[in-house]
This record gives sequence, C-alpha cells and structure tokens, in this order.
Amino acid sequence: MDTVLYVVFTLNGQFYGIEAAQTLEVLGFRPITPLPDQGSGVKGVISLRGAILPVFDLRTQFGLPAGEYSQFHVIIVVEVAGKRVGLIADEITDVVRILPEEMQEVESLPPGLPPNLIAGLGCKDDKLIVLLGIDGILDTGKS
Amino acid sequence: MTHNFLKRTRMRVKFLLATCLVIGIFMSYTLYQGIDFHTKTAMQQVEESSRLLLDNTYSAMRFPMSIGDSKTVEEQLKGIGEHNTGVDVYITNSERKIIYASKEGYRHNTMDNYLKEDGSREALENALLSGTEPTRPLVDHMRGESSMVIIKPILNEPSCHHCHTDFRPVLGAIVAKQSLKGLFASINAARNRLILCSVLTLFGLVVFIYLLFVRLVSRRIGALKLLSSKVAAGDVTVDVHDDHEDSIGKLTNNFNTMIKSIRDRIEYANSLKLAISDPFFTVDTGMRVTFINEAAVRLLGLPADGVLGKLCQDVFQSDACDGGCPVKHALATGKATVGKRMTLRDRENREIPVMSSASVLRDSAGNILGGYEIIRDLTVEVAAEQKLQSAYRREEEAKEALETRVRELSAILERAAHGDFTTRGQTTDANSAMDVMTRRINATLDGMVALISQMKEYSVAVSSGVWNISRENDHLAERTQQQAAAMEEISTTLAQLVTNIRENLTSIRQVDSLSKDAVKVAEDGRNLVEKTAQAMGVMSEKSLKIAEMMGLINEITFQTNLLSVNAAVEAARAGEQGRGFAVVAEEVRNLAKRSSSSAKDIDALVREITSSANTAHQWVDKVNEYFTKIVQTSSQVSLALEEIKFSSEESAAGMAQMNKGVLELCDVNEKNTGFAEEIAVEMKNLGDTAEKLKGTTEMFILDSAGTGVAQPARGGGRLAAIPLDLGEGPAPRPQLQGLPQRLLAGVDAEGGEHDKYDNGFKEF
Repeated sequence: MDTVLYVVFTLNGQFYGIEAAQTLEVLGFRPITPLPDQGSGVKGVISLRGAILPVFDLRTQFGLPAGEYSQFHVIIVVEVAGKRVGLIADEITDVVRILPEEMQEVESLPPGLPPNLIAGLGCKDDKLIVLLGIDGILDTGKS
Repeated sequence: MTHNFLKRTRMRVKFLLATCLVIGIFMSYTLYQGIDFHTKTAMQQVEESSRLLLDNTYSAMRFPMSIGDSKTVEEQLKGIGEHNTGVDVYITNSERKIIYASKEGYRHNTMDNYLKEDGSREALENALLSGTEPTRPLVDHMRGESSMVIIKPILNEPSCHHCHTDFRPVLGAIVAKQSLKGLFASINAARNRLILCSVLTLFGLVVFIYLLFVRLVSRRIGALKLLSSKVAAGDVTVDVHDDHEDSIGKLTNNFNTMIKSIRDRIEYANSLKLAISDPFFTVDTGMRVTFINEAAVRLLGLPADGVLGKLCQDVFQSDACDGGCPVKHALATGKATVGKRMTLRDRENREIPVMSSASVLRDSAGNILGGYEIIRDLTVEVAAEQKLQSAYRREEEAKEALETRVRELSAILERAAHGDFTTRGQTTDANSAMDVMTRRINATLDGMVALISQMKEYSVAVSSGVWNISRENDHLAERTQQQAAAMEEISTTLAQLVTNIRENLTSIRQVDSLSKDAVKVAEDGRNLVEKTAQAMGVMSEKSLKIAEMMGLINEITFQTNLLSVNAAVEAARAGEQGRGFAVVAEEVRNLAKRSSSSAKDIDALVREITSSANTAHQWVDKVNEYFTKIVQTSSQVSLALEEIKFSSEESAAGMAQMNKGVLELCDVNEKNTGFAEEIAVEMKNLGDTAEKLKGTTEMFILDSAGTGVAQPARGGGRLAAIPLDLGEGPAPRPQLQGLPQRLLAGVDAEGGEHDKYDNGFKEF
C-alpha cells in the first residue's frame, strides 16, 4: 500500500484523520444557519461561495459531549456520496503522510462498530490517529 | 281383804293363782259343754231309736189291727219286748188304758201307772185329744229309774173305720218307754274320764306356764329387785346385764343407764366436794361428821381416819359449838350462814382464827339430810392485820419525830433569814431522808456562809479593780495620743506617694510623643507602598494589552495554518502536478507551526508576568494594611497613655480623700479622749458602790471564829487572780503618752499638708 496523505484534526483531545484526497477544503468557523432537524443529525447550513452545504458536528456524530464553538473551530468540507458536506472539528492539527508500516490492522478491533467508519489506525510520532472512512461518517449519526 | 291379800302375796303366787283360775274356768266350761253335748247326743240317739222302733211297731201292727187280729199284735209286741231290752212298748186306747203291751203284766192297766211325771201324762193326754206328737222327748222317773217316753198317737184312718167308725179322730196312742239307765251309766263314765283328763291337762298347763313365767319373768325381775335393793341401800356399783330385747331387757338396760347416771351424779357431787380447797366437812342431822376433806384434816392436825361418825363438837372444839354454830343455825332455820368468824382448836390445842360458811344438805324432796361447813383459815390475814397495825404505830412515831425535826430545821432557817448563820441542824446515825435533808440544809447554810464570805472578799476586789480601771483609762488617753502621731507619719507617706505619681506622669508624656513619631513614620511608609501598588497596577494593565495582541497573533497563526492545510489538500488533490505546490504548502505550514509555538511561549510569558504583577499587588496591599495597623496601634497607645494620665490624676484625688480620712480619724481620737474621761467618772461611782456592798456584807454573822473578811484563807487562792488580771490586762498594749496635745497638733499639720498635695495634683 502506498503512503496516503491525511488531514489530521482533533475531537475532545483525540486525533482523527481523513484522507486529504477526499477533503475539499478546510474552513474557519463561521456562523451556521440552523435548520429544523428531524433526527438526521444535521447542525445547519452554511453558504460557501454561493453554494449551500449542510454541516454536521462530528462530536454529535461520534456521541461525544458537545462543546462551545470558538473562532478556532474548523469546518472540513468533504464530498460524501457525491454531495458536499461540512464537518465541524475542534482543531485542525496537521496534514501527514502515513506510511504502510505506521498503519494498524482494523481486524483487531472488536466487532459491532459501525461499518465503513474506521478505515484504520495510524501511529505517527507516538500519536494514535483514528483514520476515518468518509462514507461511514454520516451513517453513525443516522443509526 | 282381797286387795290386801293381792298386795302382800308374792308375784309368782299371784301369777299361779290367776293362771289356775283362768284355766280352771276355761276347762270347766269346756268340760260342761262336752258333757252336755255328749248327753244330748246320747239322748237324741235314744229318742231316734225309740221313734224308729215305734214307727216300725206301728207299721207292723196296722195291718193285723185293721183286720182285728189281736193275737198277732200281741205276739209282735211280745217279740219286740223280747228283742229290745230296756224298752217297753204300750198301746193305749183313748182312755189311756193299755190294750197291748210288750210285757204281759202291763195289759189292762191304765197308762198312768207307768207314767209318774205330770209332764208325761199331760203330753199323752194332749196327744190323745189332738192327735199331735209331743215335740220334745219326755223323761219319766219311776222308782228311781229314768226312762225316755215317746208318744205317737194312732189316728182314725179310713182303714179303721170299719171297726171304730169315724167319729173319733184319735183311736189311741202307742207309747215307747226306753230305760235310760245304761245310757246314764255310760255318760257318767265318759264324764268321769273327761274330768280326769281335764284336771291332768290343767295341772300340766299350769306347771308349764308357771315354769315359763319363773324362767322368763320372775327370775329376771327378782335379780333386778335384788340389785335395786342394793342401790336403795346405797350401793351404786352394781352392774346388771340382760341381752333380751323384750320389755324386761329394756327395763334392765334403762335401770343400768339410770344407775350409771346416778353414779355420774354422785361422782359429780364428789368432784365438787373434792374440788373445794378450803377446809370442808358435812354432818348429818345428829351433828355427826359424815365427810371431812384433806384441807380440814390438815388444818386441825387430825388423824386421817377415825373422824367420820364422831360428833362435830368433839372434832372441832370451837368456841361456837356451845352457841352460834353456823351449821346448827342452818339446820334449825334451813338458811345458809355466810362469813361467820370463830376460833377452832387443833389437836395441840392451838387457837386457829377462821371464817366459816354453812348451809344445809337436802334430798330431792327438800328434806334436810344434814349440813355442811366451809372453813377459811384466817391465820395469815390476822397476822397481816397485826403487822399492819404495828406498822401504822411505827409510822405515827416516825411522823412525830419528823415533825419535831422539821420544826427544828425551820427554826434554824428562820434564824438564817435574819442573817444568823451560826446554828446548824442535828443529824442522827439513821441516815434517813430527814438526815440527808438536814445535811443538805447545813451544807446550803455553809455554802451561803462561804458565798457571803466570798462576796465580802469580792467587794474588796471590785474596789481595787475599779481603781485599776481608772488607772488604765489614763493609759488609754496616752495611747490615743500615740495614735495621732502615727497618723502624722501616714500623712508624710502619702506625700511621698503623690511625688511618685507626678514622676510617673512625666514619663507617660515622653512615651506619648514617641508613639506619635512612630505613627508619622508608619504613615510615610504607607504612602510609599501605595505608590508601589499604583506602579504594579500599570504593569498589570500593560500585560493585559500584550495578551490581547497575542490573541491577534494566534488568529493570524491559525489562519496561516488553515491556509497551509488547504494548500496541502489542494496539492494532494492536484496529484503529480501539485507536488511543487505541496512543498510550498508544507513550508508555509511549518512556518505557521513555528509562529504558533512562539505565540504560545509569549502567551505563557505574558501570563507569568501578569500573575507576578498580581501577586506583587497583593503583597503591597498587605504591607499597606500592616502600616495602617501600625498607625492604628500607635493611636491606641496614645489613647492608653491618656488614660494612664487620667488614672494618675484620679490616684492623686484618692490621696486627698485619704488625707481627709486621716483627719476624721483624728476627730475620733479626740472623742475617745472624752469617753475615757467619762469612764473615769463612772469608775468612781462604781468604786463607791463596791464600798457600799462591802458595808452590807459586814452585817452577816457568819460564825464564832470571825467575819468573812477575816477568812481570806478559804477563798484567797481564787480571789488573788482577779486583781492580778485587772493589773496585767493593759500590759501588752503599746505605751502611749502625751496624747491630746500631740493629736491636735498632728491634725493641724496634716491639714496643711493635704492642701499642698491638692495643689500638687492640680499641676498634672
């Protein structure tokens, strides 16, 4: 397997990674227009250069405690099933290249976790990074 | 006569006679009846046989007669006469003439020759006239021989009419004459046998009944009679037993019960008699002793037996025997005598005073059987009475003696009342209550003599004591003067004290100014600290501004980082074409990282400075606080010094008060001097009174030896202590001299000093 570039961010002190190739853009925090929500987990919408895109809070998605938003929060814009969505993260940390030997096997994880969510575990500079599969991110909130 | 006989004869004779009589009557009657019956029966049989013979004869004759066959009739009758001995048959005509007869010789005789009895003749005549047979058999006695006569009339029947025609109803009669000689002989024989049998039976029966009576009644009653005779004679110890259930048995049992009851009663009476503990005896009407109990025997010392039956007079030998004997009186009048006093004589002829009660003994019918007497020995009582009388006499004597002695004592006491104590009561060796009293009175008089003597001595002592007190009173005045001197010394000491207080005040003033300087220095320090605090505040403000600027730097760093990330993302998406751009993006990102870490360091430094400034500010505040406290404390010290000053001033005022007090004491001293003078006057009066007392005691006459004053030896030992006490009393006290003048001078001097001190206090 080749080296892959990951955008690394933090949620509640824990490092998570999304493939850079699947990341469209990282935005600074901006006001979110809330929408009437009926359990889809969508936080609201923002306008990005004339286009409207829905925003999800990853804390809510991963069942972590919600926190106050600051100006240092970021919205990571990705494309899921052909749609652009924004994901709110606590902090953007770095863009790293994870070598195959730095990857951990997913099979060692216990069964029953949401499918397609965890693509693997990377270990970089003694930090454990949860590598997320972009297709499984939004399933967790829905389930 | 008969009654007397019945009363006198014995029971069994009476019973025998009665039995004989009854059985005899009964047997006679039975015998008579038997003989009578036997005779009648025999007669009846004879009659019947005669009639039968007659009827047979008649029926046998009818036919021959009807045909006039006289011969046959004759023969037949002859045959009858031959075959029947003792029987004669006659056939008469209507004129009672015998036509035919069973015996040859009787023919042609009249029937009257063979019928002697009138009754028989009448019956024949009647039968011939009327043709009826006599209803009862007839007995005819002829020539000492009895015979039965049966008459049957021969009626004129139709068969007879041919000869006799029919104008006569009765033709004649046929008469049978049966001799009763044999019959009577047999009857007599039978009667004799019967009588013999009856007599024998009677005898046997009587004997049997008599024996039975003797066995069942007479013998038992006889035994009972014997016992009752014994009882009547006074022997009640008999006991009879009879287990029969009949009346005699019950009678015997009742008799037994009766005897037992009598025995019980006798025993009861005896018990009563024996239960009398006083001497007791009974006599009969002839005054012979019938009973005497143990107590009486003991009282008189009599022999135990040989008294009974003797004359009462011989036994008791009383003075009352010749007249006034209670028993005789009781026997004569039938009334009891109670509590009669008399004298008895015992065997040794000693007189015994007694009290006796007597009464009569009666039987159930109320007849007097004798009398009895209960005696009570009064020897002890009489002795007691005599003792009592002698005791009374002794008492009287003692009383007189007592009165004599009481009179003596009262004379002595009267003399003592008039002041003469020289006489004393006389005592005896008897040691009686009177002696004790006399001794007590003597002792009292002695005691009074001693007391008066002591009083005399004491009055001397009082006089000397009063003198001593006067002397001591003078001493007291001197001591009061000494007191005044002491007070002067106190005033001097007080002045020294005031000086000391004044020096104290000066020292307090110096301390006060020093404390005020300290306050000023403290306030300067506080101002400096306040300035420092202001500088620190400025530094804090600047630090805050640096912090704000750090926020801006952080934001820029953030944005830069974001930009570098986006660049990296974009380069990654661009693939091979973006490789160069990726390098740039990475450089930018590293730059952003470095600036971010620098910003963080600066931020940490600024925070440190701010916190240090804050800490410094706090310290400055604390220092400021301390300075404030120093200032406050200094002020308090100043205030305290002020208070000390006031206190000292008040002490000075207190000293003035004390001075005044000392002056008042001086006044008191002066008054004490006055009191001492008054005491001196009173002492003089007391001395006079003591002299008077001494004069009074002189009038008592104590004894011949001398007066109380002349007897110092008795009370001297005790009295010596009194003047000694009075003399030594003031010895421990401090000697004071020259009191009044010094006292007044001291007061004046102190008054001056007091003013001076007051002025001194006012300086403070």
